[in-house]
Amino acid sequence: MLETVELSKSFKGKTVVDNVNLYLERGESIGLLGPNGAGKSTTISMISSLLVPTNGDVRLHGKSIVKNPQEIRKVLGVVPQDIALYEELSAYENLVFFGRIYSLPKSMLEHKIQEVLEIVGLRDRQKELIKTYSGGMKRRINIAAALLHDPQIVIMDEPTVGIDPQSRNHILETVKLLNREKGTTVLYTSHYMEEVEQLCNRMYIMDHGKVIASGTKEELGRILSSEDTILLQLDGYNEVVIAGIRSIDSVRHVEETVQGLKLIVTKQSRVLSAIVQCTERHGVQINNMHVQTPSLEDVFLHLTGRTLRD
Amino acid sequence: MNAFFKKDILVFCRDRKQILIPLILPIIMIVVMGFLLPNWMGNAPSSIKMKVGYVVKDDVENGLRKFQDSLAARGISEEEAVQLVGAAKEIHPANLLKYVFANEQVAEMIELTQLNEEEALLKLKAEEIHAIVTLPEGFTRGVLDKMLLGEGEGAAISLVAEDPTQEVSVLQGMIEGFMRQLNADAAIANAGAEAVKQGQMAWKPVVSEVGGVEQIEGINTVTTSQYFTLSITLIFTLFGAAAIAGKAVTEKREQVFQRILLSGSRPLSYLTGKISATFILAVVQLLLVFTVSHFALNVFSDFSLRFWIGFILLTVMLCVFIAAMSGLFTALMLRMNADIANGIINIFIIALGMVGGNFVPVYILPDSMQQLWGWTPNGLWLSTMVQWIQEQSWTVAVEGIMGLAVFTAVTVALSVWIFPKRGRI
Repeated sequence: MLETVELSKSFKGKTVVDNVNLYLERGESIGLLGPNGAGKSTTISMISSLLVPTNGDVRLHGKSIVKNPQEIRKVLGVVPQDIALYEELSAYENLVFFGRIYSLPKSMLEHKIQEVLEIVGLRDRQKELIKTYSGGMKRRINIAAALLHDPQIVIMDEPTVGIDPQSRNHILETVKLLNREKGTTVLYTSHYMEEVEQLCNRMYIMDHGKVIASGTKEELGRILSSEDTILLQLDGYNEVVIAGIRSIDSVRHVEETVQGLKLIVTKQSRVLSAIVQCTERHGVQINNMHVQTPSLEDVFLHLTGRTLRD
Repeated sequence: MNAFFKKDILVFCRDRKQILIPLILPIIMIVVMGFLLPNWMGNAPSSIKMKVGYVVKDDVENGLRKFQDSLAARGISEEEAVQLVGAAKEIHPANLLKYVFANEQVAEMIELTQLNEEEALLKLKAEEIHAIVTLPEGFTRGVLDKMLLGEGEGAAISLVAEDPTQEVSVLQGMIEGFMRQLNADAAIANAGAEAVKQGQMAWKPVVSEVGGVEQIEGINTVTTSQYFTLSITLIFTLFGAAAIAGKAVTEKREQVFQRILLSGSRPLSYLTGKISATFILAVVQLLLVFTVSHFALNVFSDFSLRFWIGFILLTVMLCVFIAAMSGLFTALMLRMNADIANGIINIFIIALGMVGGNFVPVYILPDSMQQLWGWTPNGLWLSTMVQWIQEQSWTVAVEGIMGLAVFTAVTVALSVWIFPKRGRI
């Protein structure tokens, strides 16, 4: 349905998106993952025709939309990362405005407004000014505004950033409803791996402007099939200890987390004893050690060397 | 476009601070300026210096002699005639005007040179003198006939100037003052004549005006309050246009503008919405300030319907121009870094205000800046309004409107040109 072909964008000689190839089939829900500065938003801007690519193409049903952006604008709904609403207007007034600029006929406008308000669960608060809303409510109206014209494809750029759990759940349910019940194709970007795991059929991982991995959750998980994740809780450690652990042959990556040190290690029997020996050598006691199968978060860490929220 | 227009009006009106500043502040400033500053057209500041050509076409002795001869022809008794001739010699209208210019304070401001008419006109054209004051042929006879006998049309002093400058207005004020004095003298003289008549005279003199100023560039004076009402309101409408354009920064920053682009709306509809909303808000702003100025502060009292028609036409044209400026500001805000665009716009408005005479009357600025006055849109409107108050000449009003129309067309063309194309946001 929608694909990018060797899509690239440079600003003042600096390449921020580099030969990105991705595709979306009708009714799919696709996750686009990457740390800050990975090039996700620029890619989205090019897909939605707001930015002209430096190289490459964006095709809708096989036709380039770079020279004919109206084609994609008719079928696309974009939920921007920012709250793209007028704070001084009520939710209802905002939706009237956006509905009118989408040329919805008057007879249909009122019905569509009530429908999208129902979807995002804010029908009873529609007359209140946006500036009086909580962050989560604003994000829900932000989504509603993108749904007014019944888009076939919805692009959501980190729609759950900085909101309360209740609103977050509501948004996730909304995305599921759109994708699974209404058959809307969704391109979803997020910093939260669990959201993408929960919502998306396939995902693309971007870093430094490039797609570095793609596939289903299972396919991506296989990247680390020969590896394990070890969560190590020590009674104290410093850079010397970390360097010591890192120097063990089987240890591929060490990351400090709130739970302790997270190690990605090659599956082999002697790695645990090597870790114990290393900690003893540095006079550090192990409080807990937990071995687990790598998650997508670990895959991401393995591929980029960074966590998603870096 | 309608959706954009409604949205912009709603967004602006919901912002109380935005709406109060351009509506209330100008009124406060007009009141303050009106109290603080002297009536700059009425009270001549000592800095005024002007050269005036004085052309006397009148033959004073001949006028007196003809007046004396006419008394005999009217059948006035010898005794009455002697009294009237004595009064005429005492009045000596031409000398009275000379005394006015000989006054030490007046002489400091006005350098009077007696010239013949041809010479004076040449010097005026060459800008060697600012104005010509002419005592017309038969001035003495006309004044005396009207003053002492209540007959004839009186006489008029002619004042000719190339430009209605502050100096010319001051000179005009002085001549009008002189004429008022002469009229008062006439009233006293006629009251005396009435006493004579009650005893002996067979005719009744009529107490009436002797005459007026015949041909003056700048018939009405412009008061400080009027000037500052116009200039301050104008500058606030410009800042109002910048405030409306400033909303585009929020729209760009929060990606509302991107959402608008994605809707498939033509970007120029967005720009037209801003321009239309600014036009309406400028009309409301000017209407409110001028209404309050007129009814509460009595700034524009005693003007005719003709004056108000021209005033409204010029004001509407100004609103059209201000609306176009908001389009230009919006395009700049979207095209450039918002902070830089904001700085440029504010500096631009302040510079326009300085050169266009919005902060201080342009007459006290250096000559070089005065020459730029009419070349700035705000200066053009202000100078047209000043001339409209003074002369109420349709030629002046139409010229002003045409000039502003040109400025508007150029501004709109620039806005469309600068307005970002796809992929440049």
